[in-house]
Amino acid sequence: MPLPTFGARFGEAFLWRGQAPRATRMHSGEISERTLGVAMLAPMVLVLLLVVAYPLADALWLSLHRVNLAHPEQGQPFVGLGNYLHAFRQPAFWYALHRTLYFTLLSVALESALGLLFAVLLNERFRGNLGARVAMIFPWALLTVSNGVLWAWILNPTYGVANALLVGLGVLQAPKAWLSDTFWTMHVVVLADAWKMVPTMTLLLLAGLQPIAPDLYEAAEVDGATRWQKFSRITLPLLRPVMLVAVVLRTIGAFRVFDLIYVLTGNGGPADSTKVLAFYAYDQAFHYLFFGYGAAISWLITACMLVLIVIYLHWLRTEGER
Amino acid sequence: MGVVTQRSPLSRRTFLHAVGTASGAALASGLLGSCGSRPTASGAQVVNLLWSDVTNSRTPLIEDFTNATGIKVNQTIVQYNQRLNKISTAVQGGGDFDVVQMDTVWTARFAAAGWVQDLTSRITDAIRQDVPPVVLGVVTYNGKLYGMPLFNSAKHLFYNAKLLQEAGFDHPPATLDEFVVQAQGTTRQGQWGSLWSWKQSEALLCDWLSLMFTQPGAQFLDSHGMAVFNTLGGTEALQRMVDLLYQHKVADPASLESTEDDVRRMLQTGTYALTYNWEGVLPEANDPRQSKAAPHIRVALLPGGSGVKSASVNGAEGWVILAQSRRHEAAWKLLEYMASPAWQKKAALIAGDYPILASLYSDPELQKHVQDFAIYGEQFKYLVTRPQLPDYARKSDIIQRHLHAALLRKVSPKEAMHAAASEVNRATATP
Repeated sequence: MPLPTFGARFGEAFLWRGQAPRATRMHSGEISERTLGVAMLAPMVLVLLLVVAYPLADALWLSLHRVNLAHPEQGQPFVGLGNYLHAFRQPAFWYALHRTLYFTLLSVALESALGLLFAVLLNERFRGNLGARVAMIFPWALLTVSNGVLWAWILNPTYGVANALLVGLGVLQAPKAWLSDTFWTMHVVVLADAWKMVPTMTLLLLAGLQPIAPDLYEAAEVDGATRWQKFSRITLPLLRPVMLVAVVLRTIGAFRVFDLIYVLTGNGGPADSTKVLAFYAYDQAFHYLFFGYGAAISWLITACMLVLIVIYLHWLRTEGER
Repeated sequence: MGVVTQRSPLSRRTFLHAVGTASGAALASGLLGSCGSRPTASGAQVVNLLWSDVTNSRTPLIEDFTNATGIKVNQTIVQYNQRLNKISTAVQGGGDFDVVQMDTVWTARFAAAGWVQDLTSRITDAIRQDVPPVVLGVVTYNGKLYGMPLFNSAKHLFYNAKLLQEAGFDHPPATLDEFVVQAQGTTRQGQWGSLWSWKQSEALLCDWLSLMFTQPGAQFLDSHGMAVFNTLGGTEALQRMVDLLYQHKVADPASLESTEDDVRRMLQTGTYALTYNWEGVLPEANDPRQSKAAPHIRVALLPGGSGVKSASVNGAEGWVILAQSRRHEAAWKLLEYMASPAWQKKAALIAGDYPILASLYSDPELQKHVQDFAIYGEQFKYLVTRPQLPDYARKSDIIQRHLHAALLRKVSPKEAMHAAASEVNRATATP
């Protein structure tokens, strides 16, 4: 008898939900299961409305008004889509979008590749596998701000270990100021982000690798398949749905990167080379007190992420229909 | 087939009901409790203070004030970086502060927005006589006084006397030309003549201004408030910075990613000869347990130029009374006490603050207690206050970006300064 699969169990649950509810004889004074359920959920719904829905709606309202806290005498006039149109006319906005997309593309690609490599390695049986898995989790458990401080120390030109190592090995002739270079700073930020987030990718992909039946590989071996053929014809196709989910999650995380850049560069430098959209929004709202414009940028970031998510979901659905 | 179970005396529904009721009651009591949590002091006067005494080293001063006046001070202490957000939130109704600590670059913003009280009529002649005008400039906007300076602060020259002596120099540089010569003499393998805080930040702007105002006639804005720094000293100052990096090669390239804190720490490695920094460097730098450069770090006036003895940037902060305060008199008494010699001298002794009162720089006890105390007092005579503009933060960011582009040799100093001035003049108040 085949073991029940997730789908089968889900189907059973679905069928059970489809059945007519069993009549419950209620005693007078007792509240119904449904009322109790609503009552139990109400506080959570209320809290969510307060901390999620209200700020979102308020930010939308702000984005449609000119709100400058430093000039209260100007009032808060309604400007419709003025703040959004203003953003589209700003070279700084497009530059920040470009920097954001570059960071997102590079970091997600690097983290996916390394995550896949480590997941495949950790899926093999070898001595110390458990220790390697535990060690993998450490960077992930670190606070992003701590990660930034850590990398700032590693890369410090005077007392950082990276320069000491590279100069000692003869790769560099003299210590390099990595965070003073418009090319290197962005790539160093990507590296620091990857160091922390590769474990997330690895764990997600490892979870996707483990249900793949060993029989498939054994059958392929019988047919004379090479290691690469087994990887490309069995592992990758079966891992693709999990991989897409992982990529969606990381894309959302990378697109709104802020704290790591704040700690490593302070102001999105050098020469604004790491000024991503979240930093641009922060500057406008909290540094210059243009709350209306800042809210509009925040909504534009959300819209960009929604577009990416819809694209990924479309791919996922296409995968499911194959 | 279902499994028949016997109901326990405490059914799931009863349990959930009880938990729900208890949680609801707890939530309600919490909410009601927070609504009525305003501190009261059984008739005693109270002042709510927001400031950045993160080391709590000034707590005895607050206690002295309470003992002297009977007014209790509720302190909220936050890091500098959190303070502006906290104040912005408070004035929108998110906090009940009477007195807040204000950076000099926020004065115009706070005053123009009507967030703080005009204290011009309260600042007495007695106070004005001992607090130099440049120090009062920290809290001045459009000729009105909006607060009381809390401490004096400026950039000074901190140098490694041992490295200078080894290179044949027996005194620190008095002019920028001498600075270049001494930096060249002390730059060698594994050692740099100078290190700067030229990360893209406010620190970069401060150093640029310190160099710019060594030139007679240097000017940031004209009488109409238009940026003229590109033609009146700014370009030459930026060219000098670029030359230190690439022509003379006496500034560590790490300067471009360093803040003042980085410079302070790196000076302690004993491999840098000349640095610009805010006060507070000496105690740690000359502590052999923390610093390889101990005990050779000394302080001097920042170098000057032709006809200018020295130029530095005013980094002082002040206390202001928020317009929304309901305890004006008690708040003013706190400001008045803070400006008194009692507070100012004790703050110098226990917390290392530099007094706002000129008379204290000749105080024998302070001169004995603080290394090179008189030099700090001398430097405070040569201060430039950054322009008091309501949208200073935005304009400063613009200039920082262009300065950094030139320091990275993406554009020439002249191009950078013209672009910065043009962008500053085009920046409107609100998008």
